[in-house]
This record gives sequence, C-alpha cells and structure tokens, in this order.
Amino acid sequence: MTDHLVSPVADSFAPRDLAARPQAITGTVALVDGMLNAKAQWGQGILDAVEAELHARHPGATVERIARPQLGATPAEVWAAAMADRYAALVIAAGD
Amino acid sequence: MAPEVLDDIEACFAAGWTDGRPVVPPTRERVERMLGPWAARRDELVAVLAPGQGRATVEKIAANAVMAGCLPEHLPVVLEAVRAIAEPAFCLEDVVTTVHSVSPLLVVTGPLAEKLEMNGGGNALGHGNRANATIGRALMLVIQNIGMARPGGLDATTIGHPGKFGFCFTESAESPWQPLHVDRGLAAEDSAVTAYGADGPFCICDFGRPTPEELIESLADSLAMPGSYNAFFRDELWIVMSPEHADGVARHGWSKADVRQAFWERARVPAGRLKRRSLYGFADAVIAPDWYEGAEDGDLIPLCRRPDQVVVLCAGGPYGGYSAGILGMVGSVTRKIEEQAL
Repeated sequence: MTDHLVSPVADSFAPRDLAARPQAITGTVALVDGMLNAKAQWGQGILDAVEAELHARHPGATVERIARPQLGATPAEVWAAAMADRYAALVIAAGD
Repeated sequence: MAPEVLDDIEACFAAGWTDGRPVVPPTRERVERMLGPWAARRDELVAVLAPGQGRATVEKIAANAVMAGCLPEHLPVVLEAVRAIAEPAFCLEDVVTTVHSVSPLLVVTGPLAEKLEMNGGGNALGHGNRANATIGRALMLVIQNIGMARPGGLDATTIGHPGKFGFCFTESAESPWQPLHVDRGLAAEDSAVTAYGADGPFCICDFGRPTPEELIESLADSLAMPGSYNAFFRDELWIVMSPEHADGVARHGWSKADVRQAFWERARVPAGRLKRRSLYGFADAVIAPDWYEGAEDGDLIPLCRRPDQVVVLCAGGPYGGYSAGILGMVGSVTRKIEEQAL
C-alpha cells in the first residue's frame, strides 16, 4: 500500500506532436525487421503494431514481412536500392 | 529500522518506483521537508519529459529527490538538472530510449557545489559523497518515474552502464582552469549544472610523458575508438583530466582552448577503419554521417566536428597519472541554478 506516500510518478502527460501522415498508400509496403537476432525478435512486435495501423488506415495496401539482420552481409546501400525497386514503401524497425 | 519503514521500502519496490536499490519512502512529511520554500510553487511545471511526456512539477521532482536520499538543499540542483535535460539540445528522448549505452551525466560547478560539499577530488566519478550520489540518482528516478523511461520498457539500452544509477560530480578545486560554466558564458560567481548524454567513463593511464604534446597525444590515442558513437556522428566528447595531468599541460602555459584544440587534432580515426567497423551498415543507410561521403580510407576523421565540442574538465585526486574519457551522444546543456535557490 502506498496511499500514505506521495507518488513520484507523473500523473499527467502532455500530448505528442505527431509527424504528418500520408493521405494514401497503395501497393506493397515492406515491413523490415532490422533488429533480428537469433534470440530475440524485438522488431516483430513493433511491426505487428505498424501492420495493424496500416490495415486500419490504408486498407488498399498490402504488406510483406522481411527479416534483415542488422549485422547483415549485404552492404546496406546495395540492399536499400534493391528494396526501393520492389516496394511502394519500407518501414524498418531498427535500433540506434 | 521500524517495521513500518521497511514495509514502506518494500511498497516502493512493489509500486515500481525504485531503480533496483532501496529508496527513502516519500512520505508527505518528508516531501514537505524537501519542498521547504518551494512549497508555494509545488504545482509549477518545471518541464515535460520525454519519452512519456510526463509533466514534471516541483512536487513530483521533490518526491523523487526524497526517494534518492537528497537533502532539501540539493533540490534546486535537481530542479535545474531537470530543466537542462528537457532542453531540445539535450535530445532527451534519444538519450534515454536508445539501445546505445548512454545516460545523463551531471556536473555541478560554482559556489553551490562547494557549499553542498560535492566531491571533485579523489573518486570524484565514484561513490562516497552524498550530494554527488543523491543528486545524480534523483535525476534518474525522475527520468524513470516522470519521463517513463523504465528499464525493460521505453529505456531500450542493450548494455547500459553503472552511471544509470546516477552520475554526478563537480570539478576539482585544484583545476588550473576556469570551471565549465564560465566556459559557457556564465559568471564565476554563478552556480550551474551541466547535463551530458554520457557513455560510461573509461580510465586512461599515463605516467611518463614529459611534454604537453606527448601527454595529449597519449590520451587522445585512447579516446580514438572506432567503435564509439563519436567516431561516426562526431558529437561532443569529454575528457576529465586528473589534477596531475591538467597541471602537466597548464604549467607549460597551455590554456583550456589549447588543450581542446590539441585533442581535436589528435583524437582521430582513419576512415577505412570506420567503414569496416561499428555502425557501418546501419549509419550509412539510416543516418549517413557527414564525413562519410567521399572519404578515402586514409583520411583521419576527428571525433567531433569542432574543437569547442571537446569538453575539458579537471577532477580527481591530487596524485596519479589517470584521466577519464567520457564519450557520448549529441551535446551538453548548461543552466544557471536559480538565484532563489541559493
């Protein structure tokens, strides 16, 4: 019980300023897990949420999941150029 | 200790308020004592803290200061530190949510640091001084409980570092140079707190260099790590020189500006080593660093863009050829501590 203590936790929160959203997305969106490693798939959880949002906001868009290990063998610029030719948009879950 | 106090300590653990160590339970009486003259301003908004966008009021910060073990006279420093990390230049959201291992470091300078008996001498970056330990800890509790950057949650750091329990010190009274806040344009009689998104410090040992040039070169070699964020993004880097090292260059007439320039010229990594290590494969695809375009393998890339991004401090015990490198991300913010607080 902490009722007799002063809570150190914030009890109000300011709204976030959100970035501009595209009006429409058509075609296939690649959802890229760039945080993949052998033991944990953090990126998949992020991409699950992104995919749900995409389906809700842009029902005409399809998605394709791609796993690209952050420590990959293919040079990043080569990989990015190939992806740009194939997809309408890329969403990359990456850690920095 | 009375059983009810132990129960309160356990209640704080259960509520998820702690940093993994026991805290002083923030009873109403203790928070009022902490607030003191600030009680009339208890509801004043000090800052909105990322990533959770929590509103940090004076009272909420005071409750975290109680838990950290602060004395009431420490509160003004904590309040100003909160304002410092909330400034856009500090990039709080990046610092506290990154998978990289950084955490806010505080340096308190000016008369208030002396009044609070802060440690800038032996073990300055370590344990043993109440003000150093509790002010730094209070800020981390604020970040966790108001900014909502909790370990395992929005704080996604892969490795972390011990400074995440709190990392705060002051400069040595033996420093041959003016304190940091004077470098930043404040008056010597002002007191200030500076916040920096810092990696863990690493010790650099050198006992034998006879000239300032050789000493700086020796220290700079150890700073120039290709695996650091600095090597790619070239943001601010800090070097905490022991009094012995600082005196070793100052007695030859070197100013702090001379030392900054010398580190900037010598702490460099060949571009070829960077391209085959560290953030290559990520940084070039997502946030290409400005040095990358057109760099030849042999080009020497400085760890920061300009000499004034090398922050030189003096702290530590009087004997020993040890300094500390503190690499990090983005830039530091210095704020004058409110006059009322003094």
